[in-house]
Amino acid sequence: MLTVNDLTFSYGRQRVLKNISFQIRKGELCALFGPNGTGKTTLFKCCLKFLVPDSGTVRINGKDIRRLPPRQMARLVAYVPQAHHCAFPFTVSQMVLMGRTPHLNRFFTPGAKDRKVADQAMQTLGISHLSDTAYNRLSGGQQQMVLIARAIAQQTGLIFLDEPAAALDFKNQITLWQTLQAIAEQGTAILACTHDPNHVSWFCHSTVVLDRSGLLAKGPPGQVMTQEMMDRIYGDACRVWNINGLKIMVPGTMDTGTTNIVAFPGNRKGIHHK
Amino acid sequence: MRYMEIDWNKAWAEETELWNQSAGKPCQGFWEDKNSAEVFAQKDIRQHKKRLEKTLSLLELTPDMRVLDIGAGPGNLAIPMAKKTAWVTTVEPSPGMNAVLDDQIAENRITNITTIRAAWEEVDITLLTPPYDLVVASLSLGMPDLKGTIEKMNQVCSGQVALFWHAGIPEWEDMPRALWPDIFAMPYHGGPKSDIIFQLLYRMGIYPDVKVFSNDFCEIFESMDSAVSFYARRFQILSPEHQPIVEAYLKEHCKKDDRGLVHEFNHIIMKLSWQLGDSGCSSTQGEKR
Repeated sequence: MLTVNDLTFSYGRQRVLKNISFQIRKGELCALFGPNGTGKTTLFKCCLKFLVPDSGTVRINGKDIRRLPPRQMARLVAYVPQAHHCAFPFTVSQMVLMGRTPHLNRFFTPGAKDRKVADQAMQTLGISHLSDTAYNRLSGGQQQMVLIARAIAQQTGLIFLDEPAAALDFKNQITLWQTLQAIAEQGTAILACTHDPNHVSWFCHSTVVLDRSGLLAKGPPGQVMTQEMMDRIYGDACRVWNINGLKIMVPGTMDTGTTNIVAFPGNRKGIHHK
Repeated sequence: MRYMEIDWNKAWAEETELWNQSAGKPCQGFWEDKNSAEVFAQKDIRQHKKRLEKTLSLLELTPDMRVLDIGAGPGNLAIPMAKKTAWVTTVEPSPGMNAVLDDQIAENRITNITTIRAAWEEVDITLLTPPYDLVVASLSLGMPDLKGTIEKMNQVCSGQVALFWHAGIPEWEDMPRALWPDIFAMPYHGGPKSDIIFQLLYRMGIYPDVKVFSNDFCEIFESMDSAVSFYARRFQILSPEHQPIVEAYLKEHCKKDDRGLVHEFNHIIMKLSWQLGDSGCSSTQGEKR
């Protein structure tokens, strides 16, 4: 669905991305993971044709994005920004309906089908009850859900999310990732950048890890998120625990003798550990 | 407000800081590697020819002059100045710009330029060979401490100090000024202008000559994608969600011709200059009101 090949980009003399190559398949929920300043946002911008890279190519559905006009691009890929300032008090349903823009007829009037798709997207995110509320009066977490619903209503095969869980409380973080899993299961490829290694480990099929030297690894979290990898990224700041094959990252200072893991979010058929 | 209580050096520093924030990074970091610097140098010579000629004509160069060029960039002023004067010393921190300057010096077989690779604030003046007959800074006043910058210039000069800087709102600020309130709910700050320099100089006891000229130039893009990308690089604060807004703005304000997509700008430049040892410049006598 997404193929990034040998992508290189610099801001002035500062090389931000160097020879980045990876692929994301249909239905894959992939985390873009790495410390601050390693080029996650720049990589997004290049994949969305907002920045033209110095060299390398990005293909979506086999098509080189350099040859895709904006409207066609918007039918292939949706983008969920981190925080969204909205000066005009649109309602939630209006915001979600905006996701239909690339599919509208030449008079840009949404039809019954567009409204149905938007309603379904709100249902999926559990925000139907907010449909008539003004978007700019919602909490940060609710706004995030609306933006994701808008991306789903866009009905693209590929969705990019920039730090989707950053503004959410713990329960909503779990809901969000489970929602993303459900969307991916229906065949959508998702690339979400995140700072939380546990989210990568608990919820994602695969991860692309960036550090200052470039692409560190790409693969399933179970294989990629090793102690060696975490040491390389964060020094010795955290420990990786392995519980029945599931990796959990805890602070390196945590005392294993007195710590009891009671439960963790059950994406894998609700396994509980004691 | 009592105007005499305004600290103009602080005003300059604050506007510089807001400028950096508005773009998402400092302006000085924009053209840093050699490739970008080469693009800038070629563009500068092609599209800024009129400005460079005007700047040179206002400097009244003579063959026996020794010149200090602060923020020399790729040498678009330094090279022609070296041909008309005895010696030019350039001060430029960017490695990319210095690399292009080296090429220019070699290509033009220039033997009377010394290059100092540092920011003016960091230059150890004992390494210089003052006094210079002319100290010039052309569109290169990105330093937050302008007063310190000017005092240091005066220290190494026995003739004229000349600053070239923007007056009014240059047209390249039109886009961020139009879009930022909607996108980021904040106004765009395009950096301090010549009025602050004049106020600061006056307070320092320097009463400068002021000359004004207007200039126009353009950015040329091969496609809308490269135009959007150019501004996305310049303003790192922009994110992909702003693409339609930026594109709509550019569609309305660029024109298409056989060169590609052309974005034209007009701006006004002020030359503020003073003569050391002149009665109009009493910088050695401390602050005046």
